[in-house]
Amino acid sequence: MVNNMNLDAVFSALADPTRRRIIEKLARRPLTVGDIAEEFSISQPGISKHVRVLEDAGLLKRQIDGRFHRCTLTPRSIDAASAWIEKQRTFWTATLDRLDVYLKSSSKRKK
Amino acid sequence: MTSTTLVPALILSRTYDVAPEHVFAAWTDPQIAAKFFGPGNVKATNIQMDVRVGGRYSIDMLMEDGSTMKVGGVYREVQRPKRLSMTWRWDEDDPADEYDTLLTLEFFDRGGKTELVLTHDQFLKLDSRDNHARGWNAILDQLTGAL
Repeated sequence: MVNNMNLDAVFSALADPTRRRIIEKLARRPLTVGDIAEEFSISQPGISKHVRVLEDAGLLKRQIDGRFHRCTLTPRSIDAASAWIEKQRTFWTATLDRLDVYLKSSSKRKK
Repeated sequence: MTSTTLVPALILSRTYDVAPEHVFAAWTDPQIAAKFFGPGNVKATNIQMDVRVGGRYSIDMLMEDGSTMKVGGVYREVQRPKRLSMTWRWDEDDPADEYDTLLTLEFFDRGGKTELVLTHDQFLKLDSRDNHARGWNAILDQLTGAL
């Protein structure tokens, strides 16, 4: 599972405001699909579709409990996304620092 | 948990003591880019830049341990010396991690100084396909003209 982290799926799943809000709600406690539908005043099939996208991206898991589908957040794929972003931040911060050094040295030479 | 922690676009800003033309030139001249691209002892080599909408760039990053990381993409916007936008993709060891992102550089004139705002979006915006199409159409048009 861990090796199969697909950042593409995670980021596109999170690129939708409704799905981000579902994640925020689930961060507080597990909810059934019906609970989520009530919160958002979107039809249950509509919510089911969003839930499936999040599930496919590995962001939540669905447990079937009788006729209820209980959704729980699985934060591991969010962690993978955060780690990726952190890596870019390190790269760009260092690159912008070096650009500063270069520009300072080249403008001195011109003066 | 807020939505900003879920899908943060990486935004960094710096002010440099030279005019936007010089900062813009640094990002679009392979010889200058070689001097500053990458952190610490990383060396940027084999830099190719075809700076026009739809043109490609690629950079090899020679890491301290001797390994090479490749990065490359396609220019989406080129407005000298104000704005530069390109797709950005690391050539990762694990193909599952290869991922198109969008890098945008904005150069603001601050009275002879330049405020550079770097935005690295983690996912391509919905308009990306349209812009890609525009870029490729431009290439195809030029190709037709050349034939």
